[in-house]
Amino acid sequence: MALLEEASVLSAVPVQYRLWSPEGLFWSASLALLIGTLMAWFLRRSASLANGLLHTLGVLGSTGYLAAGLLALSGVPGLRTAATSPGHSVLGPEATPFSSFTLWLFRIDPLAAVFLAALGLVGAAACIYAIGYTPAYRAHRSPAFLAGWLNLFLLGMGLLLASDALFPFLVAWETMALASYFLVTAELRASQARDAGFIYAVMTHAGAAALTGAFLLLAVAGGSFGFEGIRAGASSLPGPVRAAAFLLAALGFGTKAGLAPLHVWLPRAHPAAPAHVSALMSAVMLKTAIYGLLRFSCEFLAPVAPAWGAILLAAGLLSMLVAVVSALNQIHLKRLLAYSSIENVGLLFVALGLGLWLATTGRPAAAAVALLALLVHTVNHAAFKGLLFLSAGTIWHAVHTVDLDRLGGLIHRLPVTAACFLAGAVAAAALPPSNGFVGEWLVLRALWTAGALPIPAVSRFALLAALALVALVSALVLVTFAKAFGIGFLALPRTPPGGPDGDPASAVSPTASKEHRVPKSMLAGQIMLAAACGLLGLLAGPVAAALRPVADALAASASGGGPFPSSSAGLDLAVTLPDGSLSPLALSLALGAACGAAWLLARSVPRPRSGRVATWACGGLLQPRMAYSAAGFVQPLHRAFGPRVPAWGQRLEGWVDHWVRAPLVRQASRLHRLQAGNMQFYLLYVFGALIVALWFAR
Amino acid sequence: MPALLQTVLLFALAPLVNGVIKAAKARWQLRLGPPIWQPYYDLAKLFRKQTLRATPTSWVFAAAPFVCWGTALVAASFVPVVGTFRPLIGDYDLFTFLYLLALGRFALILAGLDTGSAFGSMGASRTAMVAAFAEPALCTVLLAASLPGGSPVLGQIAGRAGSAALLLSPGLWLAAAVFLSLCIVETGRVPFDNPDTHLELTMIHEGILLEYSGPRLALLQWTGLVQQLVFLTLLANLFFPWGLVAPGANWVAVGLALGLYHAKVLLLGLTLAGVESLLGKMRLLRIPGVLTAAWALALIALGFSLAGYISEGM
Repeated sequence: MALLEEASVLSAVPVQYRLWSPEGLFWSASLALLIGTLMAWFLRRSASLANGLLHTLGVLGSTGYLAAGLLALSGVPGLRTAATSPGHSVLGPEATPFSSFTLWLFRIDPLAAVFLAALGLVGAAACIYAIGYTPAYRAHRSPAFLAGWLNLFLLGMGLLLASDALFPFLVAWETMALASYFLVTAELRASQARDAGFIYAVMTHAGAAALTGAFLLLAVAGGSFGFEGIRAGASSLPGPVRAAAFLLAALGFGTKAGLAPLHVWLPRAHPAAPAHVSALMSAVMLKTAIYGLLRFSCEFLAPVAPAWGAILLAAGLLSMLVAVVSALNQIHLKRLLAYSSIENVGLLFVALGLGLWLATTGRPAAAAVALLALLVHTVNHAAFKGLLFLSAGTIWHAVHTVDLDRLGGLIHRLPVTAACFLAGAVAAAALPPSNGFVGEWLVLRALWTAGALPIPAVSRFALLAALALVALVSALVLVTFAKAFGIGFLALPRTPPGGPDGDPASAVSPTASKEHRVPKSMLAGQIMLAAACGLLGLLAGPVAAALRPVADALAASASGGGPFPSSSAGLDLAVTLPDGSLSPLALSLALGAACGAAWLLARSVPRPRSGRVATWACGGLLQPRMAYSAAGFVQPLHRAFGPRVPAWGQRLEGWVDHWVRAPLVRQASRLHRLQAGNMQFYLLYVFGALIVALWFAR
Repeated sequence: MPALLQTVLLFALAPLVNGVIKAAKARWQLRLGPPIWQPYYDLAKLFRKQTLRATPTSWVFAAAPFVCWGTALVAASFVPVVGTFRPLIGDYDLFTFLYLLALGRFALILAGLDTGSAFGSMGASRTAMVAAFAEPALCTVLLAASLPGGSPVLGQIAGRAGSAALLLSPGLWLAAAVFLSLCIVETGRVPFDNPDTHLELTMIHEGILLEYSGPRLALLQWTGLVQQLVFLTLLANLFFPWGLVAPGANWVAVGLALGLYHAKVLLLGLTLAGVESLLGKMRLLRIPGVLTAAWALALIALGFSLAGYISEGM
């Protein structure tokens, strides 16, 4: 069954499309990104032209994706292409078994539109940011190289989201992995970047292998490689095959999304990559995995066994706990942000698992709330995590270190970046009225609603205990981001003027040059995402109203049942649920008014003029070393958890390294001997494969 | 309108409650102590004083008192004091309430780190630790209270039918006891912190306030007092909701409810004073253990609440 009636189906050959329609915008954007990728080869000698032109193409492409996503979500009627029909294939006859390689179908249905809009938003900001940031990598890679792979990365993610058949999906997946590998290893000379890239490549391909297995299981049984056929055929599969397919899909998508314990590549790859690449990876690439898992669980294999929902919920909780304990102890700012991404992905899996469990046990209304939480938090997390990574990149660009113990006092030197980072930190800590709070509130309400259902008391207790655990993780995340902003930006600089190497360029002193040395495009990218965060927070009501039909359709589809009465999507300024509402706009206005009242109150009483005085340092001069270090700030928590708990995260990663990554690398080294470099051997392989294929096809 | 009056009452009454608690503690120590109106005089004095800002601080330090006071005002507007009137900005639930308090705490932690001194950082770090452990316990105990009413909105938790049979529920008493201990944690009283001294050993909240002066210090102290009263009000009205009026009641009922509210708060304040006078302050590093035990008890109370919910057939 189609996900929604208003899906806009399109063919790969743009037949008579209008520009101002989702598919028209999508293909124009993809064309721009393809041109950007190809031109990188021709512009590889001219650095500044490549930088400006290719990144501008990236901005155009991303903006096109954003517009396409928004248009498809708003379901603008009457702007469909003339020559489309469901399942129109491109290069060959459709609906014959095993005409798989020719089936290249693309479709932007509203679920893909949500993720496409997030991709467009963060992609545009990242490309604008990269114009100023990429020249800093000139010693390692030329701007043409980085910009070309960036365009290909964006293109791969866009095509992935719009795929409606197996091969486009897998090809786009591999394109995304390949492009991100080259971007992660941008710092050629740093061995940690090479190691990070290697681990990333290994884990990604292991995940892709699992994915391919899952897809092939379904496609072979369904007799078609288009998603329609897979959807139709999967319902007739026996139980164990469906379970195996779901397990493979969960493993594959879980590896890409960074779900514990498969997250080992994330904390290494994100710090190694350039800031805008980390932003895109955290904000969008992880979400493509969530998108894939949504397709599997809510469409192809619907209805899944309820146990899978519970397993995903538990895995999400475990991921949140492991990630937040690791994030708390991090001193490297980008690794801290990477662990925070793992924690947010865990939250998304909690919402997904809850939604699946509710849908498959006959409560689609409650499931729709959980899936709405998933979609809202996906978009919000993309905005604020992208912003945080871009700000971290600006810090690195200015002072060449992101080690919290060497930072400090940056709020005087980088005021705009500090304000943007604070906005991102407030959103990441899920404080009202930011956009991060809306997603977390929806997840908590979904858990509460599930806990209040007439189900056995043990299940209710488990759900409410999960709610309390989410609250615990949220409190720890608040401490983490208070640490990140407070130690990094406030008080005095911890590094003396002259920098750690005695190099004046890396001086962190507040008397050093101000933010006008930071390229304007970097500031523009950050401000753009900060404004997006603000808008998503204030207008959370309309955003939730726009995403509600998608969530309802997902819930209806996941429960394997018929049409689900869509809740009324009026133009509401508040996020309304069946049993409660939240209006961030009203909250913001109230908070603003209250803080203004406090300020007026403070000024109302006549008193002497205010003055400045040195901070009390017990009679001596205030030294930078009197302030807490990052490790010192979390030391009470560290001590309270005991010596072993933070080591759990590392032990888990070591365990996965030992049992998953090392055997993979060993087997791959053995298979490497097959690649002898000898032409005769290769011809022998081709001949042998041909014989096998002919034998099977007889 | 009645909701706004409730909030104004909370803000006006908060210093008096603290004054009564201090007077009670003084009596325990066989002294006369300051008059119960002293906190008002202190706040008025501070509003007239000069503001001195520490040199390495930024706008974060300058803005934090306003943010704290503002969030306390908005959070206090959700709290049912005399009746379950709908707040001005809408029905908000316990999660919004908890996260608003977290916003105030975040601003304070940043303000502490901004001073660049060891005292501020110490206060910030310890506040963060205590809050991280108190949050899940607080969330669980509020969940336990919210289940019988069928809604997480604070007004509706208080507005549930308060039958006499509820008094016999062991879960209710357990949850109330845990919430009382969390009140003591959140207000920074003995045995978790000593609000009367400014020694380094007891600097959980006071360390952050050390660099503030003048009206900003007044706002921060007032916020602390309001938070104390808000927690006492929640304890009184969420767990023992008798005497709350419904919207549209006549003035006689409101007057009676007001009197009953004052009696409840007085009783709870005297309990706090007694606890503070009879217990000694525990080591800072034992606080997480105690709060984890409180969380475990809250989970047990949640279990009781679930069982009670089912047996009442709601």
